[in-house]
Amino acid sequence: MTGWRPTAVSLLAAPATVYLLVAFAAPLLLLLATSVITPSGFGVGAYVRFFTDPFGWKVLGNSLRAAGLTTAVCLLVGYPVAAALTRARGAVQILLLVALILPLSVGAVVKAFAWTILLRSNGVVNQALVATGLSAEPVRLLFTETGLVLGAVNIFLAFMVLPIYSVMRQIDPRLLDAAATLGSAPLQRFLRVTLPLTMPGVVAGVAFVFSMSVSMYVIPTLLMGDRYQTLSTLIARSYLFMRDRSLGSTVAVALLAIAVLVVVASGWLARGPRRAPAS
Amino acid sequence: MGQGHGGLSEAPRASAYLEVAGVGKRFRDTVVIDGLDLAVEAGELISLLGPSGCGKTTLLRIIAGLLPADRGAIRLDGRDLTRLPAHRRNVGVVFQNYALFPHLTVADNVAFGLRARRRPAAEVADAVVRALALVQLDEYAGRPIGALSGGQQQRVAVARALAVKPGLLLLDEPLSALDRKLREVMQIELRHLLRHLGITAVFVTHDQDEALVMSDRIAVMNAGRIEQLGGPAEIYHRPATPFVLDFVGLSSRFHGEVVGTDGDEVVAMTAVGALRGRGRAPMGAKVMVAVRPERISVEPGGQAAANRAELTVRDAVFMGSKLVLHFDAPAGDRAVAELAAGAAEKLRPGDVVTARWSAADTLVFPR
Repeated sequence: MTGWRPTAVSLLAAPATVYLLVAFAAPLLLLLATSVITPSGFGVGAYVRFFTDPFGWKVLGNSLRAAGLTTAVCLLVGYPVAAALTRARGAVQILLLVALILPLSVGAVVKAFAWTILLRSNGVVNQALVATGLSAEPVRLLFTETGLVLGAVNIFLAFMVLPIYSVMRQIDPRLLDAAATLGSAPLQRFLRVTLPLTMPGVVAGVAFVFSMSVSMYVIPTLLMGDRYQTLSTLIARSYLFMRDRSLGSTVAVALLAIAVLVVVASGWLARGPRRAPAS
Repeated sequence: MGQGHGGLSEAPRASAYLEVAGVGKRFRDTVVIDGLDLAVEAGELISLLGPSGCGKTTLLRIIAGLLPADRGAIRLDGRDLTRLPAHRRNVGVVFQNYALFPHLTVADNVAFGLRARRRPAAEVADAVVRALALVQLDEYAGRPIGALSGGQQQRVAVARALAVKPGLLLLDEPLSALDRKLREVMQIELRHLLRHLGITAVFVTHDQDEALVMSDRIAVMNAGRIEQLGGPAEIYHRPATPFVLDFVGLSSRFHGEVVGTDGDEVVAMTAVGALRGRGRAPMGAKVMVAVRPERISVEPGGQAAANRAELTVRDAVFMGSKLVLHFDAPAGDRAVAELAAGAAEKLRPGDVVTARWSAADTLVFPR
């Protein structure tokens, strides 16, 4: 019998493993346990309660829709930014990267609060809309889904741009030259070469932004108020105000399930239909 | 002979298949292509041969439409391509690193150009099979690109470029990434394939052997200009400029001063004595006298020749089929001879031999 002997890999991974076991796995198990403990022993009663309640579906829908919209807008805005970042050289590229990464050091609370100032009826955005004649009177933005997505995109955009950029900059520009000499027009080159080759970055960006925006808490709290609930705000309310640990843990597990689903799906999408790239 | 004229580029003729007329290109303050003319006949294989930085790849990219020229015109088969974007030129390119699409299979790579042209699926499938058969890769149609060896990838790149039946094929150092043995095999295969298809092709290479093997004519480029355009034998035996002499093949060269003229020949006094060669130069002119190494004979008591020099062997290098002798020479000069192996294998460093060669094999370049 050969006994287990520590290898470089296991030793290097040990501190992080211990930390994750104590700080993450154990609480997670407690959370799962709480969600299936009922007054009469174990059961899935809490899940049944949540998923048979129209309010439960409404909250789930709110979260998924806000996350979906945020992800979609981030992708539409972020992809061209990644392309610009790839083409930019020297000082321009550094400037773009700094503009993208520096705001990450400002907390979500500060940003979300700033958006409440910008979006309110006498805020800068509305003043601009009225002044330019785009709108006759102030538009209601704060406490609307539009405002929520606007704020969320601002906070999560970098997490879409950076993975796409990191993949896009690896693409050999001669591939596009080759496509051109083979008779491919610019749009075709994008659709048949650039887009397929950047898909791993797109998938990673979508997974990042979706999983972060589906669980966002500060932004909906500040930009939407109490009348709009997402999974995260409901978890907080369950624990903090309703003192309903059962509901709170159930929703938390549902949120976790969505996150796991996104990770698994993106892992499969990034690997499944693709083959090993040329050496 | 164009000795001393600094260049021998043919003026484009109206009948040429590919015409490059007065093309110029500069990057910032650096002139990369300097008013270059080139005319290529239909079905011809032409090499652009030169050191890195001579502008050969830039010229290729301009012909392909991947880079705009600052001035001049590109015409193919009577059609002015100058303002056409690359995707409308029907000019195929085989790239140095092959630039195969890593996300597609071998067959999909080859089909790429046909699909871009929106050909019916049946026609695409048919053309892919034929193109892969041309390069003997029929078996590999479904493989991902990453699963192929370098030589196989190179052949996929050729098949992909040929599948669309381009009016012109451009090859940018197409074999430089392969090891020497495979490269020599591929040179012959590629040359055979292109001749068989009757396609007009322009190669870019810095490898003189590749240029000599692959092409009907070679354009030797230097500093954005064509120094000489001619058949492989002409380039080798009658280099128009010292640059061409130096870049293509080995040579012995002796610096000297003209001490006599005689019709098409001159006699120059050099460090190894008076040498007679073909060329024109006034009395007293400073010249360089050159001769190819295999034109030199060192047989003791060999037949009389116009030029003879007593040379001391510095190194005798056995190369398999030949023996290369390097001789002592004054600074700036070089003396080297190539003999059939076996002929002089007993020669050792320090031996003094009498080298002989004819005036007809001797080139004289003004300095």
